[in-house]
Amino acid sequence: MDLSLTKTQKMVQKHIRKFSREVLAEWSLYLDREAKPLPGDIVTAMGNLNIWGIQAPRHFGGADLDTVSYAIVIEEISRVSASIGLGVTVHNSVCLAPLLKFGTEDQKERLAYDLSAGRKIGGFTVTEPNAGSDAGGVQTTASDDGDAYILNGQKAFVTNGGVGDVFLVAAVFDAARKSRGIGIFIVEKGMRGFSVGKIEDMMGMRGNMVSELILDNVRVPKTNVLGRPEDGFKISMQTLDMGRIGIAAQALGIGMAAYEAAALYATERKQFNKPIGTFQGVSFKLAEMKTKLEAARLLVYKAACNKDNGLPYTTEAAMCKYYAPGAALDVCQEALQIFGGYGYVKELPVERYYRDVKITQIYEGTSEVMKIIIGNAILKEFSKL
Amino acid sequence: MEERHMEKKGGRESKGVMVFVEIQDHERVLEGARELLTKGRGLADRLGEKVYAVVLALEAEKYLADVKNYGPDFILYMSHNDLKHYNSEIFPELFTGLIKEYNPSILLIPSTEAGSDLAPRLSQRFHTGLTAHCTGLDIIDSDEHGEGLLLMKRPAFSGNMVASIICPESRPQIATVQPGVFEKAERTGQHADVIELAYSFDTSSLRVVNCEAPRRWDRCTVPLEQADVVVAGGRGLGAKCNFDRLFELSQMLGGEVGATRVPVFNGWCGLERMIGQTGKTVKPRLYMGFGISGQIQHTTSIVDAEIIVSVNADPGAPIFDISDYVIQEDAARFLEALIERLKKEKLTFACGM
Amino acid sequence: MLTIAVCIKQVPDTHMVKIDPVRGTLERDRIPNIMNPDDMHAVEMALFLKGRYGGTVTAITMGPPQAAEILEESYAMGVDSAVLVSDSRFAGSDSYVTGKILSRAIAGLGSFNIVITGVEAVDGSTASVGYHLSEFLRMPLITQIHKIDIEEKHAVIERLYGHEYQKIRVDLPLILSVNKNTNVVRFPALADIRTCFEKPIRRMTMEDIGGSEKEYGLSGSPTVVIQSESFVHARERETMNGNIQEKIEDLLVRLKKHNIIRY
Repeated sequence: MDLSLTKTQKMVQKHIRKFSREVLAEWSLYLDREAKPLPGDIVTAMGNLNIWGIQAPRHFGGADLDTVSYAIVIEEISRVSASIGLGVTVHNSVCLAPLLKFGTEDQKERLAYDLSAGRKIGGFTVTEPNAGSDAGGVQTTASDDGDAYILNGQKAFVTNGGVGDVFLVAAVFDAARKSRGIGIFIVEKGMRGFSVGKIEDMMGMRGNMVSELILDNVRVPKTNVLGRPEDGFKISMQTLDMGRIGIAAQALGIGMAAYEAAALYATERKQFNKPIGTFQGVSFKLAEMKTKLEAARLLVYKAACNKDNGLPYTTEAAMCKYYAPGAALDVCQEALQIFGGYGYVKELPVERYYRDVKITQIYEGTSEVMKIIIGNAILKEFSKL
Repeated sequence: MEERHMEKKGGRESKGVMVFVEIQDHERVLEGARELLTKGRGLADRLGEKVYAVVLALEAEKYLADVKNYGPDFILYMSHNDLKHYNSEIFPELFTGLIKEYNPSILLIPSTEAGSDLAPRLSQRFHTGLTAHCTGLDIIDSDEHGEGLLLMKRPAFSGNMVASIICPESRPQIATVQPGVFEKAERTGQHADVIELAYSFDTSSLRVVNCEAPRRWDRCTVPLEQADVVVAGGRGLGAKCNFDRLFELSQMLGGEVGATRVPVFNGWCGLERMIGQTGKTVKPRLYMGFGISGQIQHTTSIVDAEIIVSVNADPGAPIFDISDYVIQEDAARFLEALIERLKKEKLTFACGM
Repeated sequence: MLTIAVCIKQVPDTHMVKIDPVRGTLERDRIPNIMNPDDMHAVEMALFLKGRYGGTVTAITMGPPQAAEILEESYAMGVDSAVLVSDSRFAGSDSYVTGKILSRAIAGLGSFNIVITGVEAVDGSTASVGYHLSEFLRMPLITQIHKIDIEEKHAVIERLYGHEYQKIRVDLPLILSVNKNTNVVRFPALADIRTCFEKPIRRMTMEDIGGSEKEYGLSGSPTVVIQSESFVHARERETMNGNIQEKIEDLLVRLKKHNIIRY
């Protein structure tokens, strides 16, 4: 069992790391302070490097990379800016990926090129004011109107909401059928009645325009239904499996940034005439940080490899999505502690890592929901014996 | 594709030190050339051999008296309009003839634009060794390789190492040296044979031609290599308006403004202010670096400064390791505050103008 | 239609050099290898010209078999073909011999109207291979390029030369020597990274370029390195403390002590 990266993965890591540090890093402060999105020319530059279509087929202008490479891209970008990492992973794994997996040829022809190039940005939304972990509690309605559905409702906390062009929206077309009555609809900017509501003022991830989406009698042609209408719930679940690997990689990136900053600081900051890293109180923290991050990394790669090898990966995705954000949160907290007062001021990025990381335990399925998934899998496995 | 190999003069041993006396701006003898004439004189004295100074220029006669002050035994010169600017098709050809005729054992060339073009071409034509950007030259006797060899020292591995190189068999032994590395010293009372040589070259064969007259590009009033005080700026200054303040500071301290490659690349100043392995070497009494992290390609060219002061917001900047005084502050802010402070006090400067 | 050859070299990443604190020697073992930074700018120039004028770009490197790594990287950047000139008999070649080998390889591959090299390699730093190529191939070498326009049989180039800014007309074929001051290197696209390892690398040995063994390697090299020592600086490293004003005062006191400033 060879745990080392392949030549391709190493090259991806090298170049995306360089790109992130040289081009994206200088925007990280602006995004956080101004709570504004990335400028258009940076989005285009990323598109030229296929960052908006990391795993999309070459045919659609993507890079057709494996999932471990995908995780590496998200991690490296998130090290430099969690906000940008979030936008990239949501666009790639929960909008473009399900479109490619479940979409019709026409839908793909129409949308996949623009999405892969970053000319259009994508999102995915189930969550509503009254439906978070209880995804089946979606209340947005989709009523059949001949050759289209009319969508009405409100979506909450939509990542990329303020900048996106293409959204996969979960809506109920038949309340009686419960989860089989929820469909996924491709809603595009410009459709009448579709608008962006308030943009959230958040603790972290401030460079992502997370927002409400308002659907007021939006006419969505039936050619914009993703898969069959009754498969909506199943599509959501599989989509989230794909998305969770990316979120875990994002958390890993934030944790790595905090850890490396703290480790460097510990070797340079002197108190009592010695670098503080020589005191066990500090070096023990660093040891724990490194171990947790390495464990998180292995869980992410395991889920990614299972996916690439066609093996089931729902449980593995849940495990890395539960573990990595938790590990990253611990790391960010301890890193801030190591920096002491300097960790608390906005001149250094440490406080931003701490603010950014918390949401990774919540979105795309809370850690609690992840444990439900893993718990169910355990019971299923052991009740057979 | 044939190779222009020059055969060694059969039997006759190479002797003497030849120096390319580059003329700068069609106005004056390059400082670096004076330094090499001095160094060449020292090497020739060690070997008991002669120094040949070579001047190829327009109105070359103007410079002869100056060159004579540095004690060469021979001044070989050609004067012609074609020689007003260095030309990579003409000069190597002329020099090839001189080397064949006078058969020097050592050839010293300044590491300027012109010298760095001339030297490798000559090394190729004579299939001989070239050591570029030397920081040390000496004569050694080696059991293994022979006596009276030129020992050439130069930085390697991005300045992390110093390599000692010899060219045991082939002649001439060619070394290029950056201006500012050696000291110049006049040598009076030395007799020099001044020899004018005939110039001829078929210019119709030239493949590179000027389209228009060359333009001036950021002239330094005090060459960096000679400055007693150097204030240098790097990426950490952030913007041209901050970099420009260095000129105020350098004026107050009686020095010159230098830069790393980032300001040059960003257009904050001209290329000739660049200090580094491919730029200039400085050895001032005071060097102050503002917003310079201290990559080795830069620091290798400042290590001979008497006092190094560095200002950088990054506590881990490598330049701190080679500094006498370390200031961890935002460079632009510190520069501004320093200028304001110096204005308040009427200070005189030991190395001021 | 341009046919462009780019000469690149694999070097140790000299920025990542660590000095053994006890013995004062370089820790050479674990330094990763990279494409020489100036050569990346050469590849960028080649791709830029191809983008503007059309044509093909061939990356060529002389080195041991592992130098193929930088050819893979140049494929990721977008070159069209790659050549590895490699032979154990070439080991130990200095700049002159390297120039000879590369020029024979270039001549053997066909005719190029533009050859591009980096100015200087970070390990050897002789910065002379471009000139050797210029002499061997009998092509003019232009450095410090600011702007370049290519016509059918010549190029019009604006470039810096010492204190001067020149505009010159140069007949093709020609050699360009570039570095960090010339351009900004593009990032390879993920899609190109994905395919770069599957592309063919042509191998050329001594038999392919011609000549005899004694012309190459150490025996062909006129210079000999007789010693290498590490270069360490030792300075005070006194940190100024306090707020900005206090630091300035402390600094001025010290500069006065050194007699660089006087009252």
